[in-house]
Amino acid sequence: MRRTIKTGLFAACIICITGTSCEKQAVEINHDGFNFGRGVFIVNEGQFLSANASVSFFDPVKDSVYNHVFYRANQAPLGDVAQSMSIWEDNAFIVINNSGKIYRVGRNDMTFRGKVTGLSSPRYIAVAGRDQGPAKAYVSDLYSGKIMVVDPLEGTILDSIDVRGSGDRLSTEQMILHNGKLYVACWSYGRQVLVIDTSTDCMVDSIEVGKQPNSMVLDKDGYLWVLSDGGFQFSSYGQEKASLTRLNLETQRSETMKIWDDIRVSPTDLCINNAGDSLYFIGEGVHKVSIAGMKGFSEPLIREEGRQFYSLGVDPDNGIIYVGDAVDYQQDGWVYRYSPKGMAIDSFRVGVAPGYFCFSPGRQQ
Amino acid sequence: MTEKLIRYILFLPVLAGLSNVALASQADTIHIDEVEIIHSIPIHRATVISADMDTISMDLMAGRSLSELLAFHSAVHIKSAGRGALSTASFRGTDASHTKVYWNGIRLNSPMLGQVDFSLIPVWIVDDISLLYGGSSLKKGSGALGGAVLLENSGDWNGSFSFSLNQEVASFGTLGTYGRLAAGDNKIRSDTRLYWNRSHNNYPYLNTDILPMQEERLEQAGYERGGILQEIYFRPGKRHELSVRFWYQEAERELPPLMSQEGASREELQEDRNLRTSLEWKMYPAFGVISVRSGYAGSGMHYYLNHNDLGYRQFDSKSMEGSLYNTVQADVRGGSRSRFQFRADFNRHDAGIRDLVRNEGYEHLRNEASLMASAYRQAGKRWVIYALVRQEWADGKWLLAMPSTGFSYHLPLGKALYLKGNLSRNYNLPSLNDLYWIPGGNPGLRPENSINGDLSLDFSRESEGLVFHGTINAFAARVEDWILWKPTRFRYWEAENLAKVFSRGMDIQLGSEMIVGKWLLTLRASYAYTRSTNEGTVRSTDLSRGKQLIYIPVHASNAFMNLSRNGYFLNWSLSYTGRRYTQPSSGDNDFTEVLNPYTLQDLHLGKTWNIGQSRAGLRFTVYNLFNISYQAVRSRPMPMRNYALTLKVEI
Repeated sequence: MRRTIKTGLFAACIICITGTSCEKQAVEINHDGFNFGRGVFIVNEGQFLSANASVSFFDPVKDSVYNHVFYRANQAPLGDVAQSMSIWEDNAFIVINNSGKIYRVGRNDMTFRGKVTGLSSPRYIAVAGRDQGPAKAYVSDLYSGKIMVVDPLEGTILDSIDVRGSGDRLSTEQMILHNGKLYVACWSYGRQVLVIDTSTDCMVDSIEVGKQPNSMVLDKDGYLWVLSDGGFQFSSYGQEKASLTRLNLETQRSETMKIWDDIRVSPTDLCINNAGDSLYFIGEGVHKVSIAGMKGFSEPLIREEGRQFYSLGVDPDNGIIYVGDAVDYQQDGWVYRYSPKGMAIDSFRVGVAPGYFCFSPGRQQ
Repeated sequence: MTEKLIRYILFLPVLAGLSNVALASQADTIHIDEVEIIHSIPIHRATVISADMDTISMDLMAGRSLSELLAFHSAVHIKSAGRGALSTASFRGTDASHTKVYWNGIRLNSPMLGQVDFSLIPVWIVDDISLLYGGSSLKKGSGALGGAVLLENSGDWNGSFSFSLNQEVASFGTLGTYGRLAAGDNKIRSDTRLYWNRSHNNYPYLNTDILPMQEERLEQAGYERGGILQEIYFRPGKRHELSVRFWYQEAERELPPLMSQEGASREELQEDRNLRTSLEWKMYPAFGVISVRSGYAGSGMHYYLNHNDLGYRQFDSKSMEGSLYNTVQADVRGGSRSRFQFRADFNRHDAGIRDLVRNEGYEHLRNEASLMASAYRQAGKRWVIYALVRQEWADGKWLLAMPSTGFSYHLPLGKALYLKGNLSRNYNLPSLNDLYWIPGGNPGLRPENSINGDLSLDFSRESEGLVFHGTINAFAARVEDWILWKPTRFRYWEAENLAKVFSRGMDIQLGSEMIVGKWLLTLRASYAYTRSTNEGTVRSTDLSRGKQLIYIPVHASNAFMNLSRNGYFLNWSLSYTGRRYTQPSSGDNDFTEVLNPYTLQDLHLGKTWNIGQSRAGLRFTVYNLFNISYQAVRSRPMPMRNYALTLKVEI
């Protein structure tokens, strides 16, 4: 009996240990090199502190989607919270907010080329180009109160522009370069659009708009449209109704074009079509508003219908609307495509929390 | 009848006894004569489905934290963000907030977070640890939808004076000093424990989350902790016992960033201060036991993140929690075949947090009361049945009643073969952060609720020089209104009653102690199979339906072998953690969202010398013997092979 028990016990131990050890390890997928053409990169934010950000690519010609393209090209994860992506020449810059860095990759093959590190909480990058000296780009930051001036090719920090004196808070968000000026929205706990002279890298003006301007676009007439979400309830900064402001960049005058009636509405993701005459944004569905008539605020072009619309993009070539659905912000999200008139085309699955669309015009010649 | 009452041989008592023998035998060889052990388990314990931590494991891990002990020596899954970092426990596929921890009856779960950081509880300050599974936890309190961990201090009434000191030196600049002084007579006793440990915690690892990949050392991960536990026991008469406990601890730790972080220099720090006290009066009248207990658990936490190079502080939050726990309990014997328990609790939580950068936060006071009654009855020779009901009241509202019923059946197939089962309903109150956090707290949250079913088969056998025991548990739990945080249109997260989770599985625990020649051999093995799946999805695009919850391994197992002779001992411990998903919809082919399985093995070698009445021991330990590179939490590196040397003196 004793021997039987001993034998049984040892056998059980071995079964427990070896049996469970048979679980297979996840196998990484090999790839034989990307060669992307015209299409759209989808920057999947990932979940905060989960380090599961990723990049997807949709090729509208082949009608194909490629997920985890950064990982597959480089055999390394992207990082924590990928916020945005910009294309300049044959480079793509991926801003990884909670990893404090920007990766530079080949825009056609996603292979790693370099990085800008030592940032605080970067949100967007605006590349000013090369003007005799090194390449220059501006990087906005959620917390530091500084806009970093970097050489995006060498990966060095050239300078920083302190904007802390300009507003209640220190946050800088979306940026637009236009006619030698950099326009910067101060979103989190802010209400300014800052104007920076790119020849001196000095702040030359600060224009007040509605609370928390989260996105901006330039229209066909050179007006800058700024969408403010108004903040949120219980915020120590206070909440106000969301608003849409139009800035005349010649006179630096602002004009409030719309104030939402319901304080619970928090519109985001202002986009514009290629003609520069229709605005799009997310606010209980996707809305389309013509600049001329300012109509379309009440009825959405695309209804949300229980989905979690998280990002919006309008293809500059053909006006096709891309909407990101974050589902529960923890699992892989979806992208829906709609015609410019709001008719559903198709949908595809991408990474966690698709938060930004970056349209790529095609291969650099 | 009484002799044969419930001839519940083994498991706990014998095991504990033999474990002590094993320890003693590290000092000397002991020959065990044949003894007949007739032990009767009180009927109110016969139906409990639980597991006790053995003394060998506790002694080996005395200088470590509770998270490390449970990870290697229990079926509880520990999710650890690194050595010395936040570690939470999950019973049977439930959430960390569904594991309740009671220190001598005082709940240690933070009322704000709902969970316990097991890395902040040193094994040194606890005498007995037991795990209550599923519905068996209801007699101690509500909300343990997975289970409860009981940490008890029993007071050492043996001898008039004892002193022990453990000094540990370990890799990565780790030092630990643990002292204990007990004195007194059989009327009054004092037991004092002091401890301190610190680590630079700068272990090397291969950083695969950056490009180009490179060997690095973990930075910003050091910690330092210290504390005191003072217990005083007083027996004014045969039928009275008073105990006072006072536990104060300070902990400071740096919080390392994720592996992918390459940003500006950062200084991220968390300081915790905890004070726990309890005053308990136990009376032993002829009809049973009455105990009256009052306790306080207070904590202060300061967390900040500085970017010194850029000259700003990103976060700076301070929180304070003060909880008062009051309990009156009566155990009443109803003849030899019945037992009744009545319990009333009144708890008061006063908590608040403020972020000094944004000047935002909340404060809240919550009152809770509960009443519990249970009855146990021995039916015939082989059956014990029970029924329990708990009724809770919180913030002015009554919750639905929490009933539990179950049985223990002594199978006629052997001397010690028992089948146990129970069925329960349980509620877990939302944490104060879930309710009131700014922004996103939701005062309209309902309590999470579960229906738990447990079935357990205990078997044991003993003969000369051999003890063998085993337990097979099967369980199923359905949790509804599971609270999750989801982002809102305002780009902050809000708590909601979202998920429905079905958790089911089984675990096997086997143990044996035997004398092989002049050696005392102790073997243990456990295996847990846990399927915990999301069942509450509505939308077709939500692909998490039926998928395993994140960070819950389907397979996990432990094994342990202890060999001792003439004061020498060798211990080998193994812990296997199966594949875990890091994203709710991920499948087996989703290689970026899967953490691979890992097997860790530790080896302890030691020798104990007897010097008169005193003892001295030296132990050398190799942790992660085979230098396994693994991650318990994604992008959080864990230490490779490391070493510790421990000197122990007992007088």
